[in-house]
Amino acid sequence: MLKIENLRKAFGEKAAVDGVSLSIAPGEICGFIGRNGAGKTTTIKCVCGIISADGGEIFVDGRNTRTDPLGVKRVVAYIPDNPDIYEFLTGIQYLNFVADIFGVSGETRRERIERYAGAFELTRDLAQSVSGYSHGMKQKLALISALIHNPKLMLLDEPFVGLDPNAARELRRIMRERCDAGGAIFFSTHALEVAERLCDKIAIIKEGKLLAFGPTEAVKGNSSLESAFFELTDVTDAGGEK
Amino acid sequence: MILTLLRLQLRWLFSSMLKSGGRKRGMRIFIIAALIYAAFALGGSFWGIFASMLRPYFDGGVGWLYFAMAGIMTFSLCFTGTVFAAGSALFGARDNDTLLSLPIPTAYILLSRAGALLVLECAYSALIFIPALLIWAASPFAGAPGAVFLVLCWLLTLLFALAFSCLVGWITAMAGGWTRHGKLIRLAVSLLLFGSFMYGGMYMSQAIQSLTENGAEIAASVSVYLLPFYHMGRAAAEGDPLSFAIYALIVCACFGGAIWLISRGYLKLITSDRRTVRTEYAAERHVRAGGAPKALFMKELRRCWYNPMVMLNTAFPSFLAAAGAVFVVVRRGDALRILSEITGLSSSVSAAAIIAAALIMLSAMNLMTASLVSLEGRQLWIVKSLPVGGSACLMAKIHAQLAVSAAPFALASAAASAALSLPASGAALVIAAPLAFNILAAFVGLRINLRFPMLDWTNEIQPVKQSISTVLTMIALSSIVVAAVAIYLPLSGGVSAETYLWICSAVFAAASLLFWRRVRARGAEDFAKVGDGVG
Repeated sequence: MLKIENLRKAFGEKAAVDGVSLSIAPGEICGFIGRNGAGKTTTIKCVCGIISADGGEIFVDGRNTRTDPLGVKRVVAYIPDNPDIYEFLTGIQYLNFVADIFGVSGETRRERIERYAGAFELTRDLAQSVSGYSHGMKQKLALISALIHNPKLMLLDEPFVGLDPNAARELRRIMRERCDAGGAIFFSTHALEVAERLCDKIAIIKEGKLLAFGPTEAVKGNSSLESAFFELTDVTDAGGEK
Repeated sequence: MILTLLRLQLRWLFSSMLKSGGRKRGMRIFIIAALIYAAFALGGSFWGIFASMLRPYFDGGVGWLYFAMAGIMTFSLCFTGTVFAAGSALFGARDNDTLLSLPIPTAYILLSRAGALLVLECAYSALIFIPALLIWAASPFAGAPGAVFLVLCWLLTLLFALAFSCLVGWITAMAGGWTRHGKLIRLAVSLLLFGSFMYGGMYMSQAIQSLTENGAEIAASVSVYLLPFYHMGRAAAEGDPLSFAIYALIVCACFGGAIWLISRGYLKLITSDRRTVRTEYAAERHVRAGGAPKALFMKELRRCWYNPMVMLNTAFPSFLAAAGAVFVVVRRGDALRILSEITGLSSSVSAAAIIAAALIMLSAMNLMTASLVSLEGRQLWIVKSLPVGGSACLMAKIHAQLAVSAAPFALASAAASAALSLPASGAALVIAAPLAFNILAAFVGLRINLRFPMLDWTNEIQPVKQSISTVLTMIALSSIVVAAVAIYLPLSGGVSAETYLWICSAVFAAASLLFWRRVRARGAEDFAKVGDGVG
């Protein structure tokens, strides 16, 4: 579903992503972990076409992001770490806007809005202005808008931040449900326990370089994901200092 | 602490203006040169006014009126320049939560935001005060005590205007909290102010002529009805410390009173819940399917309508055109009289040509697309992550400007044609020429905003009023009009004004076609570059 080959992106002199390669098959959830500023968000933004890569190739469902960016965006849903949503719209106007862009029919969008807004307990606030939404409500609205067109690949940047426990549980359930139906999810997180329980694959990034990538069991070995993460990142720290 | 906060505000203001042009040194120099050019162009017109006023006033024994007029003009320009931004800047900034979470007294936050407006006023007022000061300093009427008081009075006048701007911003923000129709009230107050400015603008040329001819009568009125400026004028002209003290006292009382009044409920106002109207969601009523182009177009319109200040600033000429249409219909006699006075000056120019030219000049103030890319701001990720081409996003912005401007301008054209009984060819010109320029203005504004986007704003007024994109678009559009006039002057003997305007319309249309082809061919590439360097 997603294949990244030798991705590179720099901002000025600083290499934000430096030769990242990974792949995710349909039905897989891949957790992307790393410290702040490691390159997680930049990688995700490159995949969904918000920023252009300096080098490397990205394929989503067989489509190249460089040659067919719109084709890629049609099968992808993206949610940023801080979902700033149009404050001049109401929740339902925003969902209609996204559904119009994806060409979702009236009947289908009504059914999906009902299902996902119900799951995230946002139905009664849909007619209110987004300017009055809390961070968590905006996050829920962004999630519903991401699900409204039934994407094949979901790119989620720290999706659990700001969600209440019920919504976080619903999100985990929906993520698994979508992957069981043949979709794929690539998400960044700092919640290592969640990643360990939920993910089929784990990618660990530091200073733009991928330190580890593979099935969760293989990456964490006999220890916990948290121990593996600290071990990997601390070892490279020590190596760097030497 | 206030200075730290003020520095933060100013650093943001200036860095965002310069950053929008990229890191290239040449582009920064170009931006600064453009700003200097704009300052000289505007300052030059004030230079002419003061040069014509100085000698009649001083020779007539009312030299203080020269400075009083400088004070009144400064007050008006500063008030006009900041009143629309004050509400958003003081009460609607996006970093309110961040600052409130720090151990900073709320009054300091208020003062720092007011201080940033004061710096803007400084820039506006320099256009008036520097010409006034230089012309007076070069005259035999200048004196050292007056110069000192003049500079002090200038600073006080800025505070005076700021007090009123802040008060109007506060009243409109309060109105938003009192009633469920807050947005409508804000729009009504804005339109009221806007109407006053328009009325003043209509009689500006008469007023300037009157200023030089009727110094004694004006002096008598100012000394009675505009007492603060009377004392300001006396302080500067005669170096009168008592008048200065009275002026300073009045200004400090107004400014102190305004800040005291606003700071009392400041915290409550900026943290109040804006969800005043609760609408029940009903799927059958709210879920509506439509196409992508319509969705993008409606998004742009809703963005402008959401903030009345943005709507007023972006659709300024459209309001003027609509008001002009009403004026021509209701006051047909006055319209005919004004027109006959103008045509009387130059019998070779027809009424249709004059109206078409006037509407083109009005269109040159149409700056809506100059901020529509910037207004995407932190929400740029939405359109960039959706399967919609950059050219479609950009064309939606063009269509939004045309939707807002085309109808009022068409109305104004039709009203003028009907009221003045223009022949068919004249009516066609009055409709076609402004329309062609409006389309060109939309493309020029968009092109400049793509090159100079301001995405890190903290309230919507900043990209609309304080961005380099808006200034450059204003300069570009007015330069096109000036160039068109300059080219016509040597040709006026052989080519009629109507024929020339048809040629101009064709040129505008051809240029728009080239811009349109650029958007179609490279719109995706141009749009992709916006915000691409931000990680």
